[in-house]
Amino acid sequence: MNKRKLKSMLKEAFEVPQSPNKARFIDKIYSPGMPLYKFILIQAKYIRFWVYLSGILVLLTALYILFGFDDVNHLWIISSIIPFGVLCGINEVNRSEKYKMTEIELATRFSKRMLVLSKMFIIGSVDFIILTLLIPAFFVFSKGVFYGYYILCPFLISSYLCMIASRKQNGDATSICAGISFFVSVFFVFIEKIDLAGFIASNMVLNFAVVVLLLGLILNECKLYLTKVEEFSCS
Amino acid sequence: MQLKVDRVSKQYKNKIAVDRVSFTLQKGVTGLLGANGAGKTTLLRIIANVLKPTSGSVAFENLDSQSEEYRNYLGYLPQDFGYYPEFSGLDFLMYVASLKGIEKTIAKRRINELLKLVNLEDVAKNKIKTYSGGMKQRLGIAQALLNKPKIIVLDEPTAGLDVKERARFRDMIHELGKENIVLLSTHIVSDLEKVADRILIMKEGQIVYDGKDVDGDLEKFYLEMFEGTKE
Repeated sequence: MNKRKLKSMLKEAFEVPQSPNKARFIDKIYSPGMPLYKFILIQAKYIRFWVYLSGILVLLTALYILFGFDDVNHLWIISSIIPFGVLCGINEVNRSEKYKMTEIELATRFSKRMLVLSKMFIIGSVDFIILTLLIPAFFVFSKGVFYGYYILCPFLISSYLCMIASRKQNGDATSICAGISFFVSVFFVFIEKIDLAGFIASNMVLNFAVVVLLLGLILNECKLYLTKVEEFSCS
Repeated sequence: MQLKVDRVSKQYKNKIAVDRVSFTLQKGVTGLLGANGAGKTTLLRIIANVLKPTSGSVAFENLDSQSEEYRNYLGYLPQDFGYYPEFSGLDFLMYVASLKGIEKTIAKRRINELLKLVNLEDVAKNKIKTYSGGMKQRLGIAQALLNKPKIIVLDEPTAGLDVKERARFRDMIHELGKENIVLLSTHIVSDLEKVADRILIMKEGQIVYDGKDVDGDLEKFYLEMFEGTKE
């Protein structure tokens, strides 16, 4: 008998037998304990790349128009592309309905509400970074005139209307949200053409009031939307 | 270990889908039978925290069904579920594991075990859209078991499975029922005959039968009950 075989036989003979209760014990102490921050980070991975890309494209286009054209008359292009950036974000948040994942998501530990909140947080953070970069650029470019409505208003109006549509619609609201984005985009081209844009831009108080009102409406809509996603609605 | 369903009702506008249903489940396999529209899926959705009851409550060991702790013990297979088109079987399970709050290393190990169990090891990296109906159903069963649930709720789990897969699934359910509460709904009576320790029959939103004593022929008993010849 060679040494290796002898070793293996000795090991087998003297090895402590596994406790039959071991598996049961491990099961008892096992508890999935992922912290919330980790959950949010993981969900960032599941947001499709083109959602981030659409935000970056809006930013780059806006910067190009600001510094490339060097002309305030081209700013309406930015306000007309922003709704489509919003559309990408809203569709991502509502994706479960389209692909029938809602029931599975609702029955998990973190549940749909937390999933939607984390997606809103991630996409909202990306949008916030973009706006943080754009608003001062606008301010510098327009020599102190606040052209906030060129970025904030189309962003907030599209988000608000798309969220209402998603809440009211049972199931996939993609096509409705696409229609809303198109409508908001055309609307901002229209107010530029009738020269309402110049009036709003030069009126700081009006600009500020519109933005605050829209922010309030969006916060309220977020609350209603999150309540709605707590429960499955048959389409 | 017990799951208590206490006077649960669900009303949609003019229709009462589930009407004051009460029962307590313990370890073992419980089959839920009933015709289409009897309220089975609504009841299972309430137990799985997918729907909120209009009145009544569901609790597992005093944990309310709306709580995160309750969902931690829950495994649910819906009757009709989908998947994101870019997902492979493995991606799908990793995604559900993240929603269930399972750490990546534990999830990977568990997913390997489950893929073996449901016989999807070889196709785990293939896109789900290339799977057959039976394979998708087995993937659904795997996701339900990811968190080693104590309450397993399966809505029509054998739909789309062939005869061989159904037999394999029955064995799996039988094993799971030894340590867990398993509640499964089906309209295929033969699926339950061999595995169920208890049968619940639903009609018009109410439980009209709760037991196991069916004189050895569940199908006949079930038909008689729906034809109204059995009280």
